[in-house]
Amino acid sequence: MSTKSTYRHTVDSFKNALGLGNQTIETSLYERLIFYIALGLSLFVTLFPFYYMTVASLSPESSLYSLPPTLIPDELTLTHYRTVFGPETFPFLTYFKNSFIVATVTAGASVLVATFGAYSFARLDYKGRGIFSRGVLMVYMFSGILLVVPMFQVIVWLGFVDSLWSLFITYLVQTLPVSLYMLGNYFRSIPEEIEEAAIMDGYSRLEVIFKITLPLSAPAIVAVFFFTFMIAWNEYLFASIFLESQGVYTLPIGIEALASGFHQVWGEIMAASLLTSIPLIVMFMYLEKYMVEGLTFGAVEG
Amino acid sequence: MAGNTTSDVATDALSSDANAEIRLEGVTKRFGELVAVDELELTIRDGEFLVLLGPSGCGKSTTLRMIAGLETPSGGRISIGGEDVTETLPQRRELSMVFQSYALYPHKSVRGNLAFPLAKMDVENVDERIHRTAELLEIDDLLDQKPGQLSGGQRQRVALGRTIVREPRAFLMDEPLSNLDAKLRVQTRSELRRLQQQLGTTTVYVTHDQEEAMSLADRIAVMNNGELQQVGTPKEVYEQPANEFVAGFLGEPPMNFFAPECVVADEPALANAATLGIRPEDVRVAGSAGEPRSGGPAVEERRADGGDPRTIELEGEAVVVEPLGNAYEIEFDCGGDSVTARFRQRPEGIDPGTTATLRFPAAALHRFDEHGEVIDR
Repeated sequence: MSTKSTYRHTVDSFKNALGLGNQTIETSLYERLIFYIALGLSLFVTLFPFYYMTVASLSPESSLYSLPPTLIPDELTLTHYRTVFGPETFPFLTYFKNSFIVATVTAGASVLVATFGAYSFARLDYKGRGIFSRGVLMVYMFSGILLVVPMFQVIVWLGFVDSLWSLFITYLVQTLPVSLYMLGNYFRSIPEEIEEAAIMDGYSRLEVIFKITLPLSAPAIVAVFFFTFMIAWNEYLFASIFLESQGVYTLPIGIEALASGFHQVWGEIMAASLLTSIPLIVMFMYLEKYMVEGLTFGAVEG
Repeated sequence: MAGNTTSDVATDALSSDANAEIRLEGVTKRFGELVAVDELELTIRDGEFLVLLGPSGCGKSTTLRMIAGLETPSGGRISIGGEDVTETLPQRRELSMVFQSYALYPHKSVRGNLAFPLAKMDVENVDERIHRTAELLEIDDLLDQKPGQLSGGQRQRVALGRTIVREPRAFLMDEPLSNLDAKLRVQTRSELRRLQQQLGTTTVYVTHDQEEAMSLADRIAVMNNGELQQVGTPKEVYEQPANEFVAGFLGEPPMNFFAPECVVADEPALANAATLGIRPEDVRVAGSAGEPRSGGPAVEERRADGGDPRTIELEGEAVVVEPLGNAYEIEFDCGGDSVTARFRQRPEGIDPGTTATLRFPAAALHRFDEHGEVIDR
């Protein structure tokens, strides 16, 4: 068997197994075996931490610290969750609220700014457009830790230390390059003729953006919103530096603060971590349907 | 062309049924170093179906887009119905356009697509207009479908419908049939022609397909390299091409060109021409049974008008014989120049390798000078 046909076979097997293949291609037992092993391995690597997080959050204190660790719990308990929601040890709801506010506002603002910015990168013709659009992406190449000190200076100068505003600004700056890039590419994939048709139909450029371009870009906008929300929701580094008082803590540093205590709180940490990931999972499942490609299908021929 | 006085145009523009004569005066478009359209002078008469014809990159689409307002001319003026629109935004020109790719709004139903231009206008009977248009184009049963659910031909109709529904001053069409398959294209072509005659709306239509141009146009404007080559009725541009480019661009197979030296008989009348041209259908084989009379009606006409009554002869060797079903095309090699002849019936005794005498009336001959411009006889 030549390399090419092996490759074709592999691609087709993957397509079939994922239900994407539009024709049934014979696969041998051997091929399927390899495929399932690969699938199993990747699933295990991805999902095991989640599994253990769940198990640990539900196991009683005693079994958490036993050796060897128990992977299948003998008994389940909700004690850790009660502690997490109990106001005396851990203000989970406050952290949750802070995280939610910062993430939503950042994501909303990022979508808004990126929409107009990306549209101008994709469609409008002006001097320095190329430098701008590439320069913005260049900013993203800097690792966050390099920017901590200058960013902190800026935040001090703005007087936003220990307030959620500091995070909002930082996350916006951090996510905009990618948002601009994602949306810009999507806008470019929308045939320009559709916009021209709308202009010929009597609409101004701005009206065309709102009535044609944005509705057609829903998948990209949702993806950008989700991406930005996720970054803001999970961000740890800047939050740990800019925030001081518990009242403004977001979930990641809240959980970290919990861990730095002297007592053994792994059960509670796992419970809080699980609760932190749930909103993202729910949100993704809800938004996924808007992210399907092919909204522009049928607009143009070929 | 200069028949329309300025005052006439001005009054017409004020009336509700405005004159939609489109006038391009010295219109130029440059993209950096490239001159896409060069000093174009063209008037599209009110109610006329004008086809801009030319090879790709000749500037025909750019011209259309400048009329639409989607491109701004680098120089010159464009007026519609006597009103200067050179600086007017496209959305204010009251023109509508069909794009090559149809450019339907994929998130809107067919009804939504048709309603979209109307929403911007001050019209009351929106539903009625949509239904009338949909009936006209026989898409009334598709109104609630999305473009993605339609076939290519149906999408094309919706695109046309969106153009018609708003009753614009003029229709602009950029190769609207090029994405249809051959059969549907011919069918839609005749429907389009009928529709335009019915509506009487000024239409500018861009295509590179000469057959489409011939069958649709009241007048054809042939363009090449950003320059207008000739404007005239399909008959005029075919039978009296202004230059070698037009002569060679129109006709399938295209006109044969050869040097005057190839002509067997010494004809002093041909001596001042740099190149001679003859249409394949005007060429006959001497002594062949398939030679009833030489030259089509146009040639006969020219002969009757006191044109050259002589017959020209060429010596050629048959190279390729192509049966086409309803005709035969035979390519001859005449001293290095290739001459294709088109016959109804296959002339006897002509096979690849045989030498024959080709003859045609001198009146059918097109003579061009060294710049490729036609020499008036």
